[in-house]
Amino acid sequence: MKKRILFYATLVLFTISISAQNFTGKITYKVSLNFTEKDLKELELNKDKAVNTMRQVLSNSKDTDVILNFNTYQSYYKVVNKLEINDRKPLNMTYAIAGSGKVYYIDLITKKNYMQECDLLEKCYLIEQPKLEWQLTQQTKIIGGYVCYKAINSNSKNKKQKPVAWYTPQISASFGPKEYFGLPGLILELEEAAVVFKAKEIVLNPKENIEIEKMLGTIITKEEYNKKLQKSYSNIYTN
Amino acid sequence: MSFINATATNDEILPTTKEAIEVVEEFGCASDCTRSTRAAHIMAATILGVDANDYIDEYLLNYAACYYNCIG
Repeated sequence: MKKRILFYATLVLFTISISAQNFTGKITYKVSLNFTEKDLKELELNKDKAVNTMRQVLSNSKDTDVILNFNTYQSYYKVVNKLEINDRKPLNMTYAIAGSGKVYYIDLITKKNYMQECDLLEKCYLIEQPKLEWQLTQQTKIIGGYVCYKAINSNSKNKKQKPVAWYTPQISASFGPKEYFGLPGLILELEEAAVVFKAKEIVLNPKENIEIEKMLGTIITKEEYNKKLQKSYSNIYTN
Repeated sequence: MSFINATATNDEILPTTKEAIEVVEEFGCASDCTRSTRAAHIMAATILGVDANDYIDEYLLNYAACYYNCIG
């Protein structure tokens, strides 16, 4: 009898393991600027010199779509339509903050969280992202039919607002936009100081194969990378 | 010919006026664009509550656009 129980238990675990390996998904987020006409009017009331700059930001920062592909252990994030130089507008902050030409990669097994940058220096770099600490709460809301819980990125250094994630335990993928991951469910909404990411389409286990592209580049810390940038573009930092 | 007894002068001798004007103009564009682009970039980032250094790629592209517009 014990042998039979052990056999079935092993079979169940094996089945769960196989299905977990095959779990894939694709989520598209709409990224919008967290700065409105109302905020602009408040600036105008204060007669701030920043009004013209922020008017240009509002005018050029159109909503941007980004995509997150994932399987059980890895995710790959990028902007859907990378803008060519001629299509870019000055101070398009939504596109910039959404990631522009950068790609984000997370591997839960190796616990790696990289941002790939290929456009600025002589080669591609995989820049290590800071470790995230989350404060989980019991606050809930429904997004697209999924019950989502609120979590706050408690170790964020942002002085204006700590990032707030709404994740659903109903989709057991521990990923989200950009470098955000590590929650007990998929992030469907993320509010940063400057932009908001909102899920607009979720596809789970699609028929098409979801490939998590292998990232190439030299691994580097964010601090070291910033030093290289400052060295390469010293005229801009000092002028 | 010896330069030992040569005297120094502060008068700058320029090969042609046209070339000199072009050089001055180019430096003007570079520094003007650096200042204006950086100021706008930092201001926008500050108001939005993000670190401007995280979006230096966008800043560089904005700078390049400003520079090429400026030198015509």
